[in-house]
Amino acid sequence: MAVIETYGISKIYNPGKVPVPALNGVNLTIEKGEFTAIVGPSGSGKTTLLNIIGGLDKPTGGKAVIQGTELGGLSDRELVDFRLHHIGFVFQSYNLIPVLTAIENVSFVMQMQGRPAKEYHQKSMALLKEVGLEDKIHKRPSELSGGQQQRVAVARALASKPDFVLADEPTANLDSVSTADLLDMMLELNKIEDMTFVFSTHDQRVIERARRVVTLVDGKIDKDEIRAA
Amino acid sequence: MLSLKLAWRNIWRSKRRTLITIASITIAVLLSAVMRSMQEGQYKDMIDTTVGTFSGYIQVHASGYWEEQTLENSFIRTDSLLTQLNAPEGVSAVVPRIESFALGAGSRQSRPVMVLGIDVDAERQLMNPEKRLESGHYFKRNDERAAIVGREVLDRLQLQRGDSLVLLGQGFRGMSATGLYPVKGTFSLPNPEMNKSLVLLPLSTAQDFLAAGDRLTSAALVVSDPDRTADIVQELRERLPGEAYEVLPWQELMPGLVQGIEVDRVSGYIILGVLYMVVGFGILGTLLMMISERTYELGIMLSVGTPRRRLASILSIEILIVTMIGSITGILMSLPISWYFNAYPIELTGDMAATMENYGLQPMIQFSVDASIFLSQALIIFVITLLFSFIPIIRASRLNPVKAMRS
Repeated sequence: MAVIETYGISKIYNPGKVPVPALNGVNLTIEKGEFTAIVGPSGSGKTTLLNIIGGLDKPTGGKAVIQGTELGGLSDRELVDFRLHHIGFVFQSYNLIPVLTAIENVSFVMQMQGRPAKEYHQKSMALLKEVGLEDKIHKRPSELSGGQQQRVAVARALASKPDFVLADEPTANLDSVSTADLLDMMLELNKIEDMTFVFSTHDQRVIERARRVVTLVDGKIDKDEIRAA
Repeated sequence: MLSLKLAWRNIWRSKRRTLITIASITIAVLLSAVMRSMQEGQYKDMIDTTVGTFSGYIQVHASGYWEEQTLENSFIRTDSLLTQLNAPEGVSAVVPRIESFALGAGSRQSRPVMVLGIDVDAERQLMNPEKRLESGHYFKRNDERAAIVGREVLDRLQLQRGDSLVLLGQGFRGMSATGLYPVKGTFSLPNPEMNKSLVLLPLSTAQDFLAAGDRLTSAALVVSDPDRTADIVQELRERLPGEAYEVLPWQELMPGLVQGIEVDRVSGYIILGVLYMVVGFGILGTLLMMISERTYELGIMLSVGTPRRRLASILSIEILIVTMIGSITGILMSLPISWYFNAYPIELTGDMAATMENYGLQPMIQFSVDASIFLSQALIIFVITLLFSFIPIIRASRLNPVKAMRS
């Protein structure tokens, strides 16, 4: 079953002035449970594609369909709500809310969803345990290492029970040990919970462990390689 | 609850910036409240000086007296009239008076003086000359043949207490008015002009001097609550026959005083307006800086699905808390200042004192401690801060998450 479908996605920045093409007719289908790396050189359109799939940006042409919903048909308010309920985000720079503790960061999206206190508290505890941070729940981001912060970010991404997790260069700021730990954890979640992960990366260590590698060059899919599990 | 928690913690992320913002709001409230307290204190002092201790908050005359102040426009004192004047709730005393002008003379000097015949007992409720005596004694009876004069009248007429004061004037219906009255004492009123020209006679003695029988030129009303003046005036106008009597509130008795206060109040508002604008733009700058520093973080919050309204509410709560702390601190700091200068007014000297005395005012600045001044100033600064924060909050809640995260 397709979780993500894109049809002829194109994106041109500054269309009226000095046009800068970022994507040029990207057709991509990602099935449930995939562990997909979007790779390519800088400027190839990886982040732009992720932003469009994540409903953060609108394409100039084509359409993105998530779980059967075409994002182009949603208003700004509906898009915010769609992101809240259907997509988990992990960003490059950890991106936790600095004034909240680990458990508060994880429960943040559940509170935005309006879930009861007991439920979001239990779920946050469980997720932090799952990412190996049960002893750091009351630490603020500034008291955690980069790898630990990224684990909290993954836990937060999973907290909303999303259809898939989008991760934009999640290991860019991590050392090799933290990168390996994070990948192990994401792969385990992918395997146990059948969670779909789509991430952009330059990192060879991540690319090596991806099950599917989509290579973008100049805004087009140059190569789409599916590896054996 | 989450919004409140986030707002509270965000406020204290940058303690210095928050404290500077709170301080600017505090100083604005402090300055505006103290300034208004000083203004309103002076106005109250002006009103009390001229109204509360001399004219009364309401006066009743024969119709036409205020237009043409002569004894021909006087009225006869009757028991039924006094009953009517005492009837409205809030009237605590009726003070009958007869007033005219005369030439006051000693053995070597003469000056125009204002002769005021007062009811010896009733006047204690308004001018209370007995308490204002600087020397000598107060009248014992309404028919006592004696005068009490303003403290400077003696010097101006080169008289001494115990000497005889000659009064020459015109009485009711053109009768000649002449009298010789021993000066029994001197008084000092807050209005310096009165001290230079006022001569008090007991009511019956004055009526006799002016050949006015039982006539009065005015009945001044003492009211327990000055704020009820308009209601009492309205009631009396309905009770008394309009063709025979006129009922005037102090604002009509002293339009110059009212206009002076209004003009001064407007100039005060202009100065306050400048202060409000300075504070408003200061707050605007601080908020824009605060939001600019957090653009990336706000972008993340929007990306993960925080509704824009929720984001705006978090920022609004932050501003509300900061503004409330600043406003309350401003009130708490301004209250003791105003209280102190209410209890111990600033006494003016030199030219400033002379100027105020020329206007018939006490040469001192007394602050008001009316709670509404402090609350209204805090409220105004509060509203201005919220108005100026509207633009940055709207700007923040409309951020494009992708652009915000690139910042």
